[in-house]
Amino acid sequence: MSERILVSGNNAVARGAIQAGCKYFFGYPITPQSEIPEYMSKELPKIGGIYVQSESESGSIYMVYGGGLTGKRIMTSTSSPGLSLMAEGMSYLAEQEIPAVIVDVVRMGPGIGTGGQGAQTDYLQVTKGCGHGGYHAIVLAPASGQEIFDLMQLAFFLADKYRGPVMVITDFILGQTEEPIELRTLDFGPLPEKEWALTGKEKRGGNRVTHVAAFFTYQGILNYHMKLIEKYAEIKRAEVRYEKYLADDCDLLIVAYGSSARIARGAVDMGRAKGFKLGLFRPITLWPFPVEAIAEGASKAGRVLVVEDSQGQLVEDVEASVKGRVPVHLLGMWGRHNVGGGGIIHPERVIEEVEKLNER
Amino acid sequence: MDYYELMIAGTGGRGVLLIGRLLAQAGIETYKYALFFPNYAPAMRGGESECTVMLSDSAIGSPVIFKPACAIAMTGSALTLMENRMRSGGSLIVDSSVISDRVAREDITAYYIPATEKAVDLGGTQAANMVLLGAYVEHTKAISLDLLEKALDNRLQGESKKPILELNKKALNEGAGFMANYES
Repeated sequence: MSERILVSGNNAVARGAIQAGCKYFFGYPITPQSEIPEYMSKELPKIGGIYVQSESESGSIYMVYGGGLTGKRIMTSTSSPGLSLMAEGMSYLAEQEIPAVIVDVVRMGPGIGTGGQGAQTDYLQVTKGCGHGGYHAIVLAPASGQEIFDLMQLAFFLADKYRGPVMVITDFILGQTEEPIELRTLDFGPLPEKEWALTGKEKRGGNRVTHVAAFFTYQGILNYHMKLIEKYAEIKRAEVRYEKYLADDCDLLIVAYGSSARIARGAVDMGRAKGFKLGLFRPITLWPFPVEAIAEGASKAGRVLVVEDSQGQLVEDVEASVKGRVPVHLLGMWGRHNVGGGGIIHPERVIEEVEKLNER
Repeated sequence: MDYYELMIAGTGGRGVLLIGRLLAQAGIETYKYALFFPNYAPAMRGGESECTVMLSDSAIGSPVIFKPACAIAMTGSALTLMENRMRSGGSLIVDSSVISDRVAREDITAYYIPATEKAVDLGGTQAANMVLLGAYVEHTKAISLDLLEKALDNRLQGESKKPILELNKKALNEGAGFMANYES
């Protein structure tokens, strides 16, 4: 077995990126993700990499854009307000099909929100495209230290495979929680050569100019869009990921992602001990969304409870998947134990909600 | 199945998070799964600090728990908080040097450890947290004291750290010894 160490989720992001061969990080500090740039600033110079602290998140994302054009593995990380500043650049990355990994350690919003505060209030932003123009980024939502480390590696692979931005989304709880991780290298198979990458003047025959505004190419506007539409369709076919826990034999299916999925898993165990037939469905890819699998699981269970630390965002995709065939209930941020900072939806609160639903 | 959960609550600066992290660090030597979650939002109840530690042989579900089976209270307000939240049948370890209140609930067991006093006797009030951690480990036998000492060795390396390392080790053993001979 490879080395096992106790690290925070934020640290697992940085280590997973380096494990995937990422040597270039452009970012700006913001709570609760600052441990990621901190670690990168310390470690990347040691391995011949580059860490640049930009003037703002608007700057970071265009450094990612420029770096990504060279075909190297590039990333940035931020938290919610910073992601909003990156939205324009994200749209450009998608337009130009530049591989990059963007990590969002969510803090409560809207607006400036608060850094020392967990929340899952960016679901709509990350799944529906942060920026303008109607594009998609694959969105991975890990739920443990090990999975953060592993999915960071997958994120770089998928960014290269499909040529575009891939997002990894965590939050305060996942970022601060320390768990043992095994430092393993994952192999996802071969990737195509990056023939499009800028290689500089020294390599004669290499690319020196590569991208122009997509709409002005001779292939035409519609052909450009059809190519992207087909790519997104292929991602939907091939890359849907999810995990089920006791979900094939339950009469209430809990749907949750990220930290809420961990809390819900605890609630499933507590509920089972009380004789409640609970199951958990955890989307790992928030986009592409596991539409069919959720619809099937929901029909089998007969009712659904979405648990998310937000106003109710994931629930929209769950409702769209279930299409009204079974009732979909929601336990949102009002399930927190504390009205101030540090409020958390505990597994015990999820069980209270289940008991209420059972009485209906 | 071996499973231990502990919440530690107190004031920031007294090593609330430190002993939680140390326990998890030492715990990964014995358990396949361990988890440390610090919750220390500055707005929370006037700068108070709390953390959760779980050690388990099987995968850990929720990283947070509302009603812990075991807790350490390092201040009076932490005692109130934990007493209200604890699961029935649980154990609450209290620093009785700085908390004069007594636990009113009869369905939980309180252990009053004069941790700060013991730490002062050993040479430093800052080691009160280690006295409490030693008491916890002796009470639950979740891990061996040796593993905690090893984790301390890893954290506090070098000649300059030696006095504080020795103080911490003595405090751990003092707490364990006090708990071993505890009479309510």
